[in-house]
Amino acid sequence: MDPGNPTNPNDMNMDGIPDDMSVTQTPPQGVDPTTLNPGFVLARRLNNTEYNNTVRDLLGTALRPGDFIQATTITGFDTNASALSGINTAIATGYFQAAQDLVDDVFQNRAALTPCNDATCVQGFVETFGARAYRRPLDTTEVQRLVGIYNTAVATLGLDHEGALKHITKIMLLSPHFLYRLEVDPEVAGAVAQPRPLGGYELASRLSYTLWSSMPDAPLSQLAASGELVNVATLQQQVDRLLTDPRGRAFLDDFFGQWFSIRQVLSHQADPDLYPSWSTDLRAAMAQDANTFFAQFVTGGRAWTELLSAPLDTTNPALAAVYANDPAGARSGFLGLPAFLTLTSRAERTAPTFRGRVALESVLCTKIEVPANLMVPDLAEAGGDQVEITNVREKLEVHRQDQQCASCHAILDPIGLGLENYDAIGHYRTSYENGDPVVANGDLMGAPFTNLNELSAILSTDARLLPCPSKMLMSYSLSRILGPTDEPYATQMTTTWAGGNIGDLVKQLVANDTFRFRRLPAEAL
Amino acid sequence: MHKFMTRRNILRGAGVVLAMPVLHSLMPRGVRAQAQGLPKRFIPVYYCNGVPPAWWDGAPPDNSSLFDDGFTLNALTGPLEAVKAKTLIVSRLGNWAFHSAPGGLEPSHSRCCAATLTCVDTDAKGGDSGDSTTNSISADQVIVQNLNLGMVTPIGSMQVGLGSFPGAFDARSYAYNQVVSWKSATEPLKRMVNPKAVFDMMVGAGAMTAAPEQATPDPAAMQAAQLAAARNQSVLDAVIEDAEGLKLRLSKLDQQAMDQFLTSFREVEMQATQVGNILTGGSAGCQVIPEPMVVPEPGGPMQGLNQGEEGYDRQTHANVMNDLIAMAIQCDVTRVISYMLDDARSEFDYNAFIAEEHRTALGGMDFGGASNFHGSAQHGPENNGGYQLITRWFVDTVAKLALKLDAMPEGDGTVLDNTVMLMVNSQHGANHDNNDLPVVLIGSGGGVLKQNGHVAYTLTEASMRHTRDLYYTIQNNVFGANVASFGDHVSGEPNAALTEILA
Repeated sequence: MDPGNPTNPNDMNMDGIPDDMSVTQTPPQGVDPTTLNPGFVLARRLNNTEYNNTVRDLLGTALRPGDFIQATTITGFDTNASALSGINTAIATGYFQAAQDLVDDVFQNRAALTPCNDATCVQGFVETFGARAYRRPLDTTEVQRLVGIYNTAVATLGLDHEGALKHITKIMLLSPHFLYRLEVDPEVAGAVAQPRPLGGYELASRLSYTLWSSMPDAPLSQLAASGELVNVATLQQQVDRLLTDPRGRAFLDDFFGQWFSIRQVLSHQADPDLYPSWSTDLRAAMAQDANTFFAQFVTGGRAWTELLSAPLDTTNPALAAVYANDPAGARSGFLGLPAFLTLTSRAERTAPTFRGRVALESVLCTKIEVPANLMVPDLAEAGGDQVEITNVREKLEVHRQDQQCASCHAILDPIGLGLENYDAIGHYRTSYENGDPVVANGDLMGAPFTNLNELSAILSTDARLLPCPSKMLMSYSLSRILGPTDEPYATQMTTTWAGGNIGDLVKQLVANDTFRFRRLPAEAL
Repeated sequence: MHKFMTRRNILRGAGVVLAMPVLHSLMPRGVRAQAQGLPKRFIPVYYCNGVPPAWWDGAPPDNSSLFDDGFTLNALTGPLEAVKAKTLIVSRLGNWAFHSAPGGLEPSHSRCCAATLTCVDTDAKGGDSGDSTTNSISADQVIVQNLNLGMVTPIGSMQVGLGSFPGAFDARSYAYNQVVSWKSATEPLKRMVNPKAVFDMMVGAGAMTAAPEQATPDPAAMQAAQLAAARNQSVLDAVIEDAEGLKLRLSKLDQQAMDQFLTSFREVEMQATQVGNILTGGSAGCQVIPEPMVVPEPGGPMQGLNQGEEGYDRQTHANVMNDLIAMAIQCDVTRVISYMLDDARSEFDYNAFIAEEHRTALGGMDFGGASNFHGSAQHGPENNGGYQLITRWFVDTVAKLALKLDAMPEGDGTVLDNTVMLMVNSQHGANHDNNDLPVVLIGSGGGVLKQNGHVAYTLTEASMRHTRDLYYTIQNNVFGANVASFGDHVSGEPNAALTEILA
């Protein structure tokens, strides 16, 4: 997710290097419900992307107030509830200002929000708008209270109908029922004693926030109201509908965008003196190209097993400068993506170790830990001197002479060095600036390769390739770093999925007990 | 995408919401003492990625000092010339929260950043497990809490910064990279980068233009303020009631989230609903600056606006943030402000905007090659141009803020005289070490600290001194905060005041 960041959401402390993930857990279905442990999601705020999308869909506004609210990124995806369950005064002030900005914006054309023209229809407005804002119907007490506040506002706060409607809208936009994703158990003790099946509205929100980073739409809410959504088959049908909806783009931007760090290409800097074709348009085209690449694994028919071998769109005119020198068929698959090759480079040169690390972390969900208490020197200082790096491979060889460093580098460097034919913006090359020829062959755990495609073929056979998406998707959707109790559920997803595309995997997710149930730990009492 | 520098359509009646009255009789004795004398302020300024060796050109030898004419600035500290008489540079202090001797720990950027004002090792406290982030209360927040400053000024403390484009987070939480102030071990106070939000907060808390010592509310403004406050009260009552009701239905684990929600929104309520005395500042009066531009909060590591993108300009951002800090102090909105000139491990492109005067002052020095801060300047050749230019720009930004405070008369002197500005880096230099940190103090905190000099300690381990003692000295000797112990020391030594910096 984060160049320069040796951990990743894919790290669940389940596996090290080079062990493959165990696939021997008993599936939880059919076991004694008292031992079933699907876990729970902490009450958490909408993250800023979800907030922006939700107010867009709720109010029809073009404002993006979430861009001005502090982000709290910790380990894992930005859906991680541990960061979003907290709030401080600056964030609360941000919401307070945003609510005012939003109602000011929307009430310029109030009729587009609600036809309610006078006091007689206020209750109806609260019921319909409230149900959308809170992602569930309001109970009578809640409705009456807001109607009461409307009346008080007219009577004592000097507000007319429009002003009072705005007033109660603002309250709903600041209510924790709007700002937080809540799964409230009818009885806490009951949810500790045994797993609670989630209701339709809770499932609708889990689904829409996973695939759209936004609130459920009307069809989804209707299926929640009718009770049909608790059926796995209905949930799975909705997966297809949501993924093909234009809002499904959020799944690429937010889930894949973080999983493969693609989001960061949009802020990446390359040195324009060394890479004259570099521009903000080029990096935007790289991000778009990556989205298009991943889309074929989501809604297209391409199986995940082809992640490292799928053809690339080398004819994309926006990326012509990057592909200009490519020999025919030089590259394919994720490792050849200009976005990947760029975001794993420094501004002025490639960083092979880093490329290796990001590849292992994102493709195989394998975390590389810097050994405890080890000071990692900068590459420029390897060998004790401090010189300009003209030949990265040569310099890295010096660095690896240190035995302490060699164990990690033995795994990371072959991958990165195998990609040395691609410069810091993914442009094909056969020599370095100083004229030294690029040597891109190597040996990965005993298997020799001479170029990117052969390297990709070796990595494609790794047993960690298929379990990885299950872990990532579960962590993203369930807003938590997966722990040991989640492991059997992730394994179950992978087993029943058995490859295929990510749309199929989402269907395994929504059928999974971790998605459809929650159970609180004893500490919740 | 939003456009930086475009004003949003804000319809709020800025400038008419008034501050809560300060209830002197309810304050503890220590607070009254401070309230009655001239107010003291603390402004810790964090800067990142260490400094080049040239920083120490002209520094005195171990355990010695230079003062007055014997104390000279160098090419990097040169911008302090205009406030040199009120400046004290301190060298060879470490942050001994953890040991980074050869073969010791990997002192990451974020780990050093997190320890800057807390002087503890977050990795040893549990670090960022993905489930929690732990640190310790920071030096500035000890002052806020021990002096109960939340009761003295409308806003107890502010945290601001310029990190529009954070670097990689070194596998750790935002809270170790974009935060230096900690309210408690588990409550990071993240810096605000959006000038418009900082401005709104101050105006919402009552900042209003007024001449010194003048405080007669305009009746129409008063009436409008009362109505606005009543509406805000109605909104926030309803929201707080929602959260209280919800909390009762949640499990113990989620009740913590609602507790934080309630605490935060009650603070918003305090700031947005109290109608009392117009807040017109102290003896310095209050000048509300024009409504500033907006800067988006970056979404996460390696995301956000770099120089020139969507019209973003770091120099403009810094100028406006300096104006806002000066306004906060002048209007007495708050007395403690931590200021992050950039986030930890910044990769921001400074080359694109640093003014010619700095290049000239450094003998025509230039960045040369790639210009991102961490990758190219901190890890470039020793004393490379980029590293020196960025460092000099940081000093210049702090010096300009100091000059603003020095232009505000107070008592027999200026506001700066009753302030301690502390410019402190989390790292030494390219080596990432947290020993021998570059430290600058400006303002004597009401005559407590020495000025116009350079005090050097020693790197000899047995007699080495640490930033935890610097904070301990500021807390007790300047602010009378009755602190018994602050920060961790790897060898468990007790705190002791840095007597060498005391006047």
